[in-house]
Amino acid sequence: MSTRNLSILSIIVILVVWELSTSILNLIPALFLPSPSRIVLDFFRTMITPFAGATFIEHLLTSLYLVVSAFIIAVITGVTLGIFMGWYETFDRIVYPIFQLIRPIPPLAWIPLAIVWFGIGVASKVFVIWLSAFVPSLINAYIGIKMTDRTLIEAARVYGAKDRDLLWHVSIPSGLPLILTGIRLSLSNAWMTIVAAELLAASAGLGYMMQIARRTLEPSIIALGMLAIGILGTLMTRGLFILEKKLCPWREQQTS
Amino acid sequence: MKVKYASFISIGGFILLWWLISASGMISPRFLPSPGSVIISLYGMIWEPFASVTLQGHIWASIQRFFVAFVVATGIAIPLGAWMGWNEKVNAVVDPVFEVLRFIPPIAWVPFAILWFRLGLKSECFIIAIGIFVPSLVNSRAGIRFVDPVLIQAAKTLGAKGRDILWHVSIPWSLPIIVGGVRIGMGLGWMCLVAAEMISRPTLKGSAGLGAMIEVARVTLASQYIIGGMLVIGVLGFAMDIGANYFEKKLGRWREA
Repeated sequence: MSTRNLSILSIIVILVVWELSTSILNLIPALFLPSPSRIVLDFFRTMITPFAGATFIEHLLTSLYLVVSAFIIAVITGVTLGIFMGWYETFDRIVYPIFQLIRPIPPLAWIPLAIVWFGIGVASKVFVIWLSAFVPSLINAYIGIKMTDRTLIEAARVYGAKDRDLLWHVSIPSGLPLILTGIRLSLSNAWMTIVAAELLAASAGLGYMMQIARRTLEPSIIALGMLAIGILGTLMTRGLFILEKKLCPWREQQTS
Repeated sequence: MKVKYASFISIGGFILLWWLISASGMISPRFLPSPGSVIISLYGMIWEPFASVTLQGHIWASIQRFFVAFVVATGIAIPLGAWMGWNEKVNAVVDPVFEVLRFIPPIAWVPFAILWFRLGLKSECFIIAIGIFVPSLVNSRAGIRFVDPVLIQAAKTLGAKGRDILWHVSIPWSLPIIVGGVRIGMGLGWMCLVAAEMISRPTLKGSAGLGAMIEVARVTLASQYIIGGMLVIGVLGFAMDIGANYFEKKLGRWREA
């Protein structure tokens, strides 16, 4: 059997066994593991009737809005600061050690402090998501600029390029693939952080929906939230990956 | 200016600025405690318990959880990943499920973990283990799959069988890649630990763990303990990463030659 067929068979077998054991044969209590059909039904149900104060789409849009806005701020600030640090030696020496000091603290560990500072609202979530998404953008932009091939710089100098030209026409384009990879990492960090932030403190959003579903013992809604987060995250990351290939077709092919 | 001095000046300047702002009284110590009060609170915690546990008690609780999750996660992920990298058919069977699950952030498993294992040690270990699991599996599979074909050909020429190739060529060759994956997983797992402890612990009395500690400090508005806890989390995570990095470099040294 070809590997492709084997994969398809694997998915079908798992779905069938899962459905049978959870709904028809009742081997596993529904409280423990919801059946696939139940998840699909709940998907349609929550589209129309609100769950935990909002419909599924509203929860999804709340999360999406937060992720996207914090992500955009993070990319702009992270990439700019990274380029500055990579380009200006003095600036680098001042900022880099502080950055290195703060970096080992996982972004999620900032949540309590963020709540103390900004309260339980949009601001504290945007802050924590920004913090988690900011780091990969900054690091990759920094490395991208720092690792500009010396030969390219020398060559441009020979042709009379000024410092500013070097930055815009040599260093930034040559660092672009790395910068874009950093942006992609930022996005997946942002998705991970929003879930944690919403589980801890929120009044709407996918994480909040899952937390309420846990209390009301509706595991199918938890599973729905998990799938939505997984699928949205994957789609957005894939989108960025395609953009990356379009913007720098010369970049090396990535494995895995 | 030498690079070394520059770092000292920069970090010194940062702490000085922090201290000046908090000493000026512009911001209430509830929001920004002074660097001194953070250190004193941490130091005091060695004898005086905070959130009913001493500092070393919180650290020990977190490390225990992390260790259990680490053993379970790598114990499954590395052999499974290596098997998937070695055998295309195994990969074809497991990969579709793995692909769906890997994109769900570990933290999103928290509600299910609590439903399945109830609040406490097991559910936290489960979340941490998922964080460690994914990168460990991805790298183990990639490491075994992308072994330099020249080496395999050479071994075959010398009469090595499949099993010999796996044990004497593929595994030693991919070890640094596997350790690299485990290292990424440890970073992720450490973050998951903090989040899992924050979300599940503080509802229990006498909750131990660094994540629980900073969450309790938030509820009681003792921000010097929040920052102190963050520092300890950062230092431990950093130390772990240095250890893993050392291991990775050591295992990969022969390849550079």
